[in-house]
Amino acid sequence: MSAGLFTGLALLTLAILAALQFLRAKPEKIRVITSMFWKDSIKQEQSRTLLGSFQNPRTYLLLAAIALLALLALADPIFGSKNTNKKVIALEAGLEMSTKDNRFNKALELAWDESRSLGEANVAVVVADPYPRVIKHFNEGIAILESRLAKIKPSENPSSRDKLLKISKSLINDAADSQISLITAQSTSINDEKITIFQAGEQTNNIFILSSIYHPSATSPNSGDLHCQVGYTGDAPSTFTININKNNQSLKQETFEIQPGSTKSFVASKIIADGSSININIEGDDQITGDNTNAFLLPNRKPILLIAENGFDLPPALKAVIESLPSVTTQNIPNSNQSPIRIGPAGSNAEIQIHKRTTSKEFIPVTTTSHPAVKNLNFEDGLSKAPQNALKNIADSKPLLTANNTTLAALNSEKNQLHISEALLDKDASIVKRAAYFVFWAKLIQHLAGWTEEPLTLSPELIATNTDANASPNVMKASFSNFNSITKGDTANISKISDTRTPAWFWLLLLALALMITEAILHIRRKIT
Amino acid sequence: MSDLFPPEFIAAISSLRLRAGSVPRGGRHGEHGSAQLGSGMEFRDYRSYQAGDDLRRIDWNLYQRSGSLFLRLFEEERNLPVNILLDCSDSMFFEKSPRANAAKQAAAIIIGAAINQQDNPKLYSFGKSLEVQFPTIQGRRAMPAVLDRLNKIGPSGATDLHSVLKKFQSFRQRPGILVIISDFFDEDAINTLEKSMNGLRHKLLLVRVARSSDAIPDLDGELLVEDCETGSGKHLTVTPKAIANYKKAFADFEKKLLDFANKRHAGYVTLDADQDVLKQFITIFNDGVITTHG
Repeated sequence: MSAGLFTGLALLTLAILAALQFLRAKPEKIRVITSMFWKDSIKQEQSRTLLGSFQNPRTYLLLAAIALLALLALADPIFGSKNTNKKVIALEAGLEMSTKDNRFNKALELAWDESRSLGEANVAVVVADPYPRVIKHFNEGIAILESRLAKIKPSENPSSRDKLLKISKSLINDAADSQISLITAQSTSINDEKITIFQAGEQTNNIFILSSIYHPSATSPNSGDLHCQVGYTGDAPSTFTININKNNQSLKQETFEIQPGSTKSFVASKIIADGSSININIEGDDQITGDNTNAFLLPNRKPILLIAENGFDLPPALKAVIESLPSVTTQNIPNSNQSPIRIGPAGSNAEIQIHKRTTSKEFIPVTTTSHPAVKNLNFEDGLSKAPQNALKNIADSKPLLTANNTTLAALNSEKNQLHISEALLDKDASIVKRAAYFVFWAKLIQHLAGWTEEPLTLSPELIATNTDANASPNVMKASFSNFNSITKGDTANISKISDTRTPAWFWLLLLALALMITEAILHIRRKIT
Repeated sequence: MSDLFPPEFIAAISSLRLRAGSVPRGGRHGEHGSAQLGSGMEFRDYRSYQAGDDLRRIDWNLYQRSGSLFLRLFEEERNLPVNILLDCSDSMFFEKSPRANAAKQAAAIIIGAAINQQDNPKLYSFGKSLEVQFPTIQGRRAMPAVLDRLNKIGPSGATDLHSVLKKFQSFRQRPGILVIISDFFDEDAINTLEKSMNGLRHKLLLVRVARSSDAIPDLDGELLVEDCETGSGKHLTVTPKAIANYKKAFADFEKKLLDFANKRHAGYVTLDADQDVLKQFITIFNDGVITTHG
């Protein structure tokens, strides 16, 4: 139970008790000729006070019951949670169930029949449509299952069997006499004695993409390898052709034969991460075509070429940025009189122009403009060397940094030029080692190089595909992280999110609350003292 | 005279008498027979003539028959000290129709009866302490003043019977009748009476002024009960159980008071404050309840 919920319930109880207290009849003040004959009753009345002892055994019984229920609720019990002779029904409700032979209805019938094979308290049901979720916990009634099963529809995406089985196993908690009944559309075999497979409908020949991942190269960050894994269910070996295209240009085309129940991997190497779209497609005799296509965008990792004037000593912050960005390469131009530092791939016109200005040794504060590249940076430490006058010839540029109304840095987005005052590069100005300058350079270089902020990719689970093989797939943004894997924490989270059952502690606390209010009412009505 | 003592009331009390079994020695001549033999009207005995005896008391008829001189002895009639302690505590004046009125009438009746037979009534009032209202009342001519004083007596705080009787004891009165007219609504009243009366040789008459509502309280619900004498407020919820407790406590109180009266051979009278006091007294007189035992 969360502290917030506990506090909320406690406050609710207090509010109800306070309301009862306020609603009770206010005593009428009355003078009597003598109170000596009321002595016993007054004594009993005084025992109803906070510090007085209770007189009625029922009061003690009620208080004991309330305390017991509250303690039980705090213990967060799970009634009947002995994992003996339990069964989890794992129902795959992914794309593979979307056939015209009505196999999904057969799968639901199978799930329903299996659910009634044991007592309802010993059966849990997990559905992957395509993400696994528990739709019936142990101890939930069979009527709930019936209504929840009726709402299940096969997903347009392949279901994740690994996650489905992981959650199912977490529910039975490895109990010796527990079983998992996997209801699937695919003819498959799993080497696990705890799992019994039930196939819904007839066997289908289905080739499908299990996963496709773009792995950036560690040595060449602007390129990487595409790994694709396909699976096949059917009654006989079959031949298919895989096509991997980049911007509609073929990267790989391979015809292969695959055995039923087996998988096959393909790799397309050295794909430049330039933001292009990747499309994977499998052709062949297939009864379910919706899982034959996969598509995503590659991240944009254009290389950065930094051309520096010979002998020009780069400031520490800029050096640090260059070292931290592996795709930035520097090139010295010997004996060059070029003042700009050129940045970007070959042929790029992105450049940093350094404007030499006389400086004076005085501390001045640096302020930022609202430009996205600098608006959140804090330059409050200022510069220890101040330029004497502002940058010149920076038409069409937007100022980024200023000091004493003097422009220190300006950006011309059209020409992809960054103008900076030499004062900003002064190696003696130790101030430039500070974090704000580091971030300034990193952002500006990425901006000039045209890098996008996030790499783009997608997994088979996150791609929105159409069952119609001829339709072009939608492309979604996604991250590489945690792809095709589920951690223990994820399992717990998924289980918790999909757990619609009201926990036992809630009912216990509710019962304690009801008893407390009953006691208050009885107390007010003088049924107990 | 007033609403409390109308003329017919005053006329009625002039014919009442108070009877006592015997009267202790001492005091003035009165209508009560005493152990002392003397010049009364009631013949008691003969004795031989001795020199110096009053010749008028010689029974000459007996002398004719026996030839010896005998004196006729008569029971000497003495007056009776009647001490009336009238409860004037706040509780007696609390109600809309104060039960002090009935108590005052009762006191007037007893005083009137005592005066009629030349007894020696004394009037005290008490609440927190004992106040001497009339140290002695002699003759019918004193009656208007007594009634006037009774009329004027007002509430005098909470009852403290213990200190009241202690003070009365200190007066060292000639033994007679002690009449206490009160509601006896004092938690310690009976214990105090038991203890205090051990040192008093008076014949005791308890006149309890009551109301029918004393036995069955007309209260209900959540109450903050404030005692009219102590002023202390106590929270009380009137439930059937509380009513039952009350009735039991009231019955105990009445029983203890009666037991005490029987134990002390004291007279015990309950007057209903809502009824005609005089009629109740006449009934009581006829029944002889007011008679004190010797």
